[in-house]
Amino acid sequence: MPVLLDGRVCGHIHTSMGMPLVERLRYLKATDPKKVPQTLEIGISPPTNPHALPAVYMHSTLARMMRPVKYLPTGAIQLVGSLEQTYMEIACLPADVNPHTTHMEVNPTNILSLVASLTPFSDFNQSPRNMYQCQMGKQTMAIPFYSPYRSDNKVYKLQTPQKPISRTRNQDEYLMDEYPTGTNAIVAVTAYTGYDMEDAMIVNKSSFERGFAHASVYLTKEFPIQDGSATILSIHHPIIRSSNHHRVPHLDDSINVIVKIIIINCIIKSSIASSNHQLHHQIINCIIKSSIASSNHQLHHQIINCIIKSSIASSLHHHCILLASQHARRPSGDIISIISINCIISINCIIIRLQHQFILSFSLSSLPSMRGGHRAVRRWYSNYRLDGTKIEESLDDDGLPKVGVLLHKGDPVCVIVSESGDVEVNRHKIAEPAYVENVMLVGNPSARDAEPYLARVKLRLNRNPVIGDKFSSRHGQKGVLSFLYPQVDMPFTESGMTPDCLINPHAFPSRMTIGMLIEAMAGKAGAQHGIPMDASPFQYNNNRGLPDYDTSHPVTAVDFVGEQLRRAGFSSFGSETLYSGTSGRVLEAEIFFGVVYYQRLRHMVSDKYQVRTTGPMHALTHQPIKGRKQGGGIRLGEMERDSLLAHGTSFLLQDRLLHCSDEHQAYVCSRCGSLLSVISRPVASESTGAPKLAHVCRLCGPKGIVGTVTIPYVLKYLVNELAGMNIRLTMQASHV
Amino acid sequence: MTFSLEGTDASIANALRRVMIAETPTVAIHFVRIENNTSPLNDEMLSHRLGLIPIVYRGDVRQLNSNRDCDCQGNCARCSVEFELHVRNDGEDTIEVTSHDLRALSDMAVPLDDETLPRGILICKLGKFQEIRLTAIATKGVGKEHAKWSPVSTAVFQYEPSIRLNYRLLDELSPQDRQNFVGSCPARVFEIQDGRVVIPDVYRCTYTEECMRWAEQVGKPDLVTVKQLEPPRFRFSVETTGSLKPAEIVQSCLITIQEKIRKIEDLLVTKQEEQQLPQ
Ligand SMILES: [Zn+2]
Ligand SMILES: [Zn+2]
Repeated sequence: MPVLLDGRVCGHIHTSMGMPLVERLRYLKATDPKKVPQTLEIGISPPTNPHALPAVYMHSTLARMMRPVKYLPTGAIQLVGSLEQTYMEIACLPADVNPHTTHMEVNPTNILSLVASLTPFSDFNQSPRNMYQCQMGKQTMAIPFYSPYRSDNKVYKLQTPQKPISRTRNQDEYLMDEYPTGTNAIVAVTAYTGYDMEDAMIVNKSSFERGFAHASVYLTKEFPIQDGSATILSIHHPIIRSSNHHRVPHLDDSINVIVKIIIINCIIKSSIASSNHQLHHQIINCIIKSSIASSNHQLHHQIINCIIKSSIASSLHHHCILLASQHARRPSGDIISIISINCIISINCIIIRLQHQFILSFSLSSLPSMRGGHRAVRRWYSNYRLDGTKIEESLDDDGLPKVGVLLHKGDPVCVIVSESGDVEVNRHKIAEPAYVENVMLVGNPSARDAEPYLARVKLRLNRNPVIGDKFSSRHGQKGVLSFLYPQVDMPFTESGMTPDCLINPHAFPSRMTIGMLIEAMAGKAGAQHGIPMDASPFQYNNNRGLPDYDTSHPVTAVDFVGEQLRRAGFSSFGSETLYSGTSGRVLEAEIFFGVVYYQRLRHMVSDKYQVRTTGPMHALTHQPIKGRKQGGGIRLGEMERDSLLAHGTSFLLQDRLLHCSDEHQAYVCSRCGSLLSVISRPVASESTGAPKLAHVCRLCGPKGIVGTVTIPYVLKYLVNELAGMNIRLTMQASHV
Repeated sequence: MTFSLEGTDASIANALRRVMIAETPTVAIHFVRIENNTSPLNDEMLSHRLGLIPIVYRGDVRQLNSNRDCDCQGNCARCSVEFELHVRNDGEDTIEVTSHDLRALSDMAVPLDDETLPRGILICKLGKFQEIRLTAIATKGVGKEHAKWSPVSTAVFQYEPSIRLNYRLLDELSPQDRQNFVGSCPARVFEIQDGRVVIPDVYRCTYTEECMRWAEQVGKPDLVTVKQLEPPRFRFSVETTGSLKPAEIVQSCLITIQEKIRKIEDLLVTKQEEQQLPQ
């Protein structure tokens, strides 16, 4: 098998010797760092593995992921890479060691990833819940970063975060306290009003008013000075931007521009190759004639480039440059003049002899169009028209909003004025009001005219909790805020505490997130004693009652935390007697009451709600369109239709599917039954002689009997489509 | 402050609690006009924090007009108190903006100044050259509308427990078991004095029923019974945020309840008059 170092084969070894080699190298890595560096990754893919080439892979380069494990032969800590560890025997606990085991985890929690290791008491949870938490931990509103200058498209930020009381060791390891993801909430587990059914969560209105889970969304809106999708690239290189624009042939003859360009390119190439000056001259003259006649930019560009290329190759410099400068003088567009000038300049370096001549033509032709920099029309951010009148009263002089103002839908955000006097007013398009967080102007300071080409306005949307927002504990227990319940109506404890939120006990039996219950107890004990609680997994004895119960091992988590609760004057199981907030009487059952770290998830109703009475319709079917953004409706599908039918609510069904959808009065000929044959034609009214529309059947002529029927508009569309397939659909219509 | 309430039932006790929390009027900052804010906190958050600072009103809060019903335009001295906050950090070190920096424009109200909080209530921190300049208007309101107007941090009543110890069974216990029994209560209701189990303060009991559980475990379920006293007696504890004194809260709460009762009385009288009119 080959032996590779940093991806290069450095030798071969017999397959049977691969493993002994690796073992020897690993031993040297542990004992003699001078011979084998500590950071060398020594991997072997065994010949039994069908998916990878059997080889010894060694990596010594920088910036590889490595993690520490215990090397059993010497007991030293060794760094292990990501490739080698897949083929290694690493024991998690001493009990897992077998004759093949070479390494052992320093700490059993190392089997967990970053997100997984942040779940407190995760060893008490049913494993799918830990998986759900790993998903949700990434959807929290939190403190994402500290830089005020970043301009991310959308950022979610929690305004009132806290460090968790129940914490794992990795919480400190990864500095998670600098980026907290939630709030320590006082939680009572009880079915109090019915507003906590089906994972709903009741939040104390006063807690909310005191700042519970307050958050904001930051949006960055960009207003480039150029229209459309202009980017930095397009401004510094206007040619790139224009290259795709003029594809429609606007030629002196019928040949497609692209084809023409290809042809010309070919000609030029061949002309460069040929040494016949006479021929060369002829070709170029021919091209130039045709190009002058054409008014297409793309073509011009190409031609001029061609001319230049050929001019360099040939001895016809003088001639070509004159032609190029003629082109530059043409008023057809700035792009061309820029290109020609570019060309002239590039030749300038080569042919000094002709300098005077083209500088003259350059100055004559191109200066007017050069004034606007590289742009076609100069545009700038301003709140004043060319005549000096103000455009938007609410904006600053630079056409941008003041920091801190509240923008409502339709308010101006950015005004761009152009040289030609055009005014472009960009408005706040989203329905939600937003505060202006900051305004940034982006320019290229190294450019000669360091004018900004982009304005960035960062907006701040207030997203304090509202009914329908999503919350979750760190145990895959997500829930939706169902009610902001007044503090006086919340149940209260003996000491006068009211919970921040209420959750339903039904959230526990089927999900078995015991870790959350222990977190509640630990949080409560930690809050009372004023200490953070270590909630790292695998540190308590979970085997009480089992045959292999090891009494020398630390106590169970419940005993440990229960004792702390007892010392704080609470019941050791975390439950408390609660009193009804409305009546003041004791609630008969003891209620589980503790402190759980709650996270606010970024799924919010304000981003999801959909409302429509009437609105935009689909052009083809005349039915309501779909999509929240477009103000569309929510589909009443087949299953919904079935349930309405089963309920016998046929009028409701008709209302949904016809009256509120694509109800249409169609003309039908009851003689031939066709929906398509009826046409309207103007005739003079019999009584007054005024012109009016008469509906006649084209198939039956005067014999036809035309009437109206109420049908869904799509039916008409269907009939048309069928007709296109030679299928005639007729209606048996009669007058009622 | 604690006081006890007798001769009534939970409904009255709970009414007192509810009115104290939700319907005792106080003054709190409700409008903020921000002139400059370059602090790390955004305007909404700054305003929210200002709103939560307890404001001590020097007059009778109940005499103050509600800003909504006042016949003035905007606000006036009869319905509001104005404050001013202007802090700018010209130094190198980060400074704290506290409730002490909030300056009242009239002498009718001040932000809470308590000896337990010598540095005041932290509003925000300012880095170099950062500045906050604003005026704030405090108005009257009740906790029902927003928690910032709630004058209490805790208002709660406890039912007086009736703890009956069976001394005959207690005497049967060994001294060690007696010690264990006393230790079983997390709230430390029981103590041993001269070898006897005594209850120094029944209100320590939080109805954890740990003692009953212990008794059951040792097979003497009749050793102790914990129940609510019949007829009930209550002990109220009222703690304040500082905007009112506890006694003022109770007083104000009683007036509110009186007003409510008077309103019902008046309605009953008018109803009676209406019924008598046709005859
Ligand atoms: Zn017909
Ligand atoms: Zn007034």
